[in-house]
Amino acid sequence: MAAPSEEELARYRAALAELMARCLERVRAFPLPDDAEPLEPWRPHEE
Amino acid sequence: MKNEPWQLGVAQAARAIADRRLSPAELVRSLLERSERVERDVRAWARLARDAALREAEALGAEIARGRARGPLHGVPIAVKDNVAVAGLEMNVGSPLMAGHVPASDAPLVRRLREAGAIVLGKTAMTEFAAMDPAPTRNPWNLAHTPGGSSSGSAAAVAAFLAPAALGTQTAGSIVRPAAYCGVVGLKPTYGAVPRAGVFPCAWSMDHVGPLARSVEDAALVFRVLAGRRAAAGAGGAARVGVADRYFMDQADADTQRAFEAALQALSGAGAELVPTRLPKSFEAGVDAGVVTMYCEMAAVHRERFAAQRERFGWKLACLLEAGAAVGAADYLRAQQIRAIAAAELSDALRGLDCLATPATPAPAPRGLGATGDWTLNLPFSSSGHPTLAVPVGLSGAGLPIGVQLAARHGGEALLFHCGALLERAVAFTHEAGCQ
Repeated sequence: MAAPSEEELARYRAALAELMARCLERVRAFPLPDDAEPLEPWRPHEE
Repeated sequence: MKNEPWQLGVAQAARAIADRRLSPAELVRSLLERSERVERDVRAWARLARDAALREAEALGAEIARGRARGPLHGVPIAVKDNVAVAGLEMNVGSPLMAGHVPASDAPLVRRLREAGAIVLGKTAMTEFAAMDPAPTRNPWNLAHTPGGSSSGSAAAVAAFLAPAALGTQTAGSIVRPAAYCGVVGLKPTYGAVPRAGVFPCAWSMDHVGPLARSVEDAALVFRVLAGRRAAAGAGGAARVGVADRYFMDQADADTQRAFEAALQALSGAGAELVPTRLPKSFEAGVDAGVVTMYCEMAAVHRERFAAQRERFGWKLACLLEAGAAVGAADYLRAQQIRAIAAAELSDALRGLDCLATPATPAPAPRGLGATGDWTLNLPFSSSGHPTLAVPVGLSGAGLPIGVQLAARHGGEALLFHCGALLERAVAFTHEAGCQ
């Protein structure tokens, strides 16, 4: 893939930074119960 | 079109071979000749396994002549995405960093295919490390448009009749999106239903492996082999199809909304009950948590390689890895807590439904080959691990395919096949129209 122009690279970085900031903000703001455990993704979902 | 072996789907080819109306070698030669005519335009292959495929086809032909069939895919060629290990066949994962890497053994899922009688026809092109830097592949329906990604070559190969079925992988939307863009069926199974050993990781906790084919029946046939399952009985009768109250249609363009509404009408006309369905409050948080998880795990997958050879990575992937590496452990774990809640609440919403129907993508395949489109409508189920099925349902005003995405409860692939077959019959999508 051809190297991007500086403008294209800056635009992509900015869009990605905005996406990550938005997602992290919502993740941090989500009201979790005290006993919430992380998903154990290495264990297949029960059928 | 004339009646040529390369036109056959998986089940049709398997039947023709079992009945000795067609030999595996005739089928492989026909597909290779088809590739010679079309590949220059479509560029679906990373590499073909011509000699090995023909040798295997001759051996399988000899077996069937002696009355021995290995399994339900006896003599059927399959295309394999280039992040799945096939013994002796170079595997580049779409990156120059992997040049010369030749796996010594088959991934277990490839072993399952071979034990069922399938032939590995070749490796399909993909985006770099299954991320956003595109493959050279073009959409067979319109060469100026992306086929989607990351399973770009797999979707294009099936759409262009270069293989009756292909393997894809999905971390955000990499099976369902290219399937929809290329007008083929694509299954993202339940997380963990198909073994991921021997598959180069993108983001471990969201990586899924599944088939692409030109019919629901064919996708089901290949999936059952991949997952080591028998055909499930009991999935039948009138289907209860959920229609989400938000998120999906809000993001769809006019063509996609029209095609989706027409597909719902067709389903209803075929006897399905359409059920307005409220998505859980945690739905969007599950999406946010999925994005954080995906980029964070990608950064972990490539940490040493990226530190040592940053300049050899595609520029989009480099940006993603930098963003993922900046996520702290506490945020990553919080994302996993949210995913557990969002998946459980989505399971509750899916209970009582055979499936949830949504548009597969916000719009048909975008013009240009520099980007592979939008995974927004697919990531919720990659994050939650629920199985999804893309079914082509119509064409846009510009003649590009539009797909519907069906989602079901964990382990509900048989429900997807039932509803998908109902939808397929109701809309009667024609694969040949755009793929001469």
